[in-house]
Amino acid sequence: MSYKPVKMKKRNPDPGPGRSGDSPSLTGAEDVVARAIQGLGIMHATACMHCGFCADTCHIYLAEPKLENIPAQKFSEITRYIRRRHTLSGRLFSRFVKNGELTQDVLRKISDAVYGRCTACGRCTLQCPVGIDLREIIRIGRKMCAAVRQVPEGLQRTVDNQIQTGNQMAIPREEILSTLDWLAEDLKMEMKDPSIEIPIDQPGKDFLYLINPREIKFFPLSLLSAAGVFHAAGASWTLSSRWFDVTNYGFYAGDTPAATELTRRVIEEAVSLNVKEIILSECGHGYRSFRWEGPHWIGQEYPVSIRSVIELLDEFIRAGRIRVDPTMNPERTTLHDPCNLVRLGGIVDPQRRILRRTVGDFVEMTPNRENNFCCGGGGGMLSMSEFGDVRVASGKIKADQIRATGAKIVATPCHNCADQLIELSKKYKLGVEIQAVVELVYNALIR
Amino acid sequence: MAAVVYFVLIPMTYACTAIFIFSLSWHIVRVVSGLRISLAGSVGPEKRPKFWGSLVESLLFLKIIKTHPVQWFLLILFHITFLFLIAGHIELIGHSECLQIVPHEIFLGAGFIGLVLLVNLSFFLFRRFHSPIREMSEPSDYYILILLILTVLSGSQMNLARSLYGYSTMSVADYRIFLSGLTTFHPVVPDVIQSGDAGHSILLIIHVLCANLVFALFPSSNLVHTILTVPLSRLQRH
Ligand code: HEM
Ligand code: SF4
Ligand code: SF4
Repeated sequence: MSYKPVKMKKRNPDPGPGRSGDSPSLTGAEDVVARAIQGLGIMHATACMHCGFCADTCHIYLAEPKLENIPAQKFSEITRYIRRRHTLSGRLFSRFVKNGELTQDVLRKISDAVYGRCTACGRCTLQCPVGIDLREIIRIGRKMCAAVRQVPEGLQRTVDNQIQTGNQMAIPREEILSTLDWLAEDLKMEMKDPSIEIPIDQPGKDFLYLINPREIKFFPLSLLSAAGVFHAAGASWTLSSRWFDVTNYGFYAGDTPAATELTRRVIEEAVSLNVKEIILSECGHGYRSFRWEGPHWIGQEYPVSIRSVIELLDEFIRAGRIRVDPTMNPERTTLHDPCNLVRLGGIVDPQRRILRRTVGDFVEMTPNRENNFCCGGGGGMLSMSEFGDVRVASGKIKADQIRATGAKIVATPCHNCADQLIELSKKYKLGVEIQAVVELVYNALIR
Repeated sequence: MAAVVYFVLIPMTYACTAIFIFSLSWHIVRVVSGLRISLAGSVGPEKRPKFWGSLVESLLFLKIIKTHPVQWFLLILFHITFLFLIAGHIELIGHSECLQIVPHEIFLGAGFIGLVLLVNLSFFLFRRFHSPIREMSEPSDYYILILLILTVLSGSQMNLARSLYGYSTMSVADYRIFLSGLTTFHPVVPDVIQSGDAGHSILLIIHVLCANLVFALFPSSNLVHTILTVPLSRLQRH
């Protein structure tokens, strides 16, 4: 398939800490809405019956049952504005009422709701009897905020980092290379095979492996495990030292130009390295962004195919390319389903097949699969310290789910969820260990 | 008084019906014309269940059957009764063979339709007085509910007046003259209604007045969107 180079769209001028830069004009936010309400959008935005059925689907509401945590309440300022501006009756009567006007104040309220009280996990959408896609309206709110720089500071900083340095943790290239160097040495010793390497920037391989910068900086074990498993399967692969980041904070922020740019870089890197496929390390929103949103952002189909490493591991095991022994992971293990990978990504069964083959005692938590609760750390929450309390409090629902399984290990195919779960384990004294799926596979390898 | 009666029954009914048709069409045209854009922009894995399955799911409110069983029952009852209500009104325009497959008196339902709707609507209304639904509600939620309650109340009183209390001057035949006149654009107001002799013709005036307002407001209220949202939202993948 051919690839048309994509130019970077204009991002909001004045990079700098988020909310400080109040944009004098709100036209950016108005434009976002005008585009979003075309077709079905207007129905989603105006159909709410205010029945409250969505309330007890939301982990944030369940942990703190108050009015502003009810999902429909979180978008009420957005839909009020839409009704005022974009419906017949709204336009007729807008002269007489203030209700629904868009002001800086209102935008700040929207920002607090859509970033600070919602992880855009989409669970409420499943419940609404009218069929409203609540998450989509929340996303409209995020895009409105991003268009006029009302993104909370921590999240905005992460987006800017990612755009400016190529990875969201702003890790310098030398550090990346030296980490990969000693990881390769470790792997050689662990697998007792001096021929193992961690390939970097090698053209012509089967796939380019994207990782979460967290794997370089804090948790190299998952990268080491992946490299070990790829080696055992005889895979032909490479990392990129430039554009390797599987995350996309532009997506979280609702900053579409940034999200587009981050996608463009990776796709062009894959083209220039001449790989057949991009494999995404375990990352919920990374999968959602690259697999589903990306082609829309860059306005074309990708010239390469794209899969999660979960699908690849499943293929390796089923095709017999690696052999695994479940007795190597004897402890009771449960699985957390990242919202963006499972409910919003469509990867539901591969991780279950993998765990049944690699873990001795696998138990599901309830509810699970598409119905699973968010861990509380989604939607970019982990990067916004101002909402740390909400994040940890709302994680109680997940903590209770985990405790009920009696598991000692929680597997989760998402580094973002992993960070939150580690914190939840400490805070709620769960005494569980959090592992990436690939770590369990590596551990179970029959070498 | 005669002028008011005439105005409510004829010009206002036509005007509100026109508003109803116009704004409903405007809404549908707007949604359908943007449909291509929103379908092209839709992303995400395929939804399960697929189209027909989810249509059934939405029409039967299956999503809340487990989590809110009592409300599910009331909702289903309400919406089904509403369908009977529409059928009942069609029979008031003229005799219909297919609706008389199961022979029954006019009005359909022997007075129970109004009763069920009234109980349901009161439940919907009183629910709104409780936190957190109270804080979530918008003024328009109340207008339309109160109008519906008044409509249903006056309608069911008219029925009961005839069947229970023996007010027979204003009969089904008179309703048929009035409604078929309206639908064939030769509007007439039967004398019994105009003169107010029937004793309960004031109920008819209230009934038509409120129903007209419901008609006019319906397309711009959230109620209308429920109809379109259900089948269409499932076409789109998010
Ligand atoms: C298949 C299409 C429909 C769906 C999915 C649907 C869904 C709903 C839902 C979820 C509620 C909320 C109940 C509550 O507050 O507890 C409701 C209430 C209601 N529906 Fe429907 N509805 C549909 C069609 C209609 C139609 C055609 C009408 C005709 C006017 C109607 C009239 C009402 C009324 C009057 C209420 C009560 C409103 C309130 O509580 O404020 N619905 N419906
Ligand atoms: S998307 Fe998730 S976090 Fe947001 S309101 Fe819905 S259930 Fe709650
Ligand atoms: S369940 Fe749907 S219709 Fe009811 S309050 Fe929530 S978003 Fe609105």
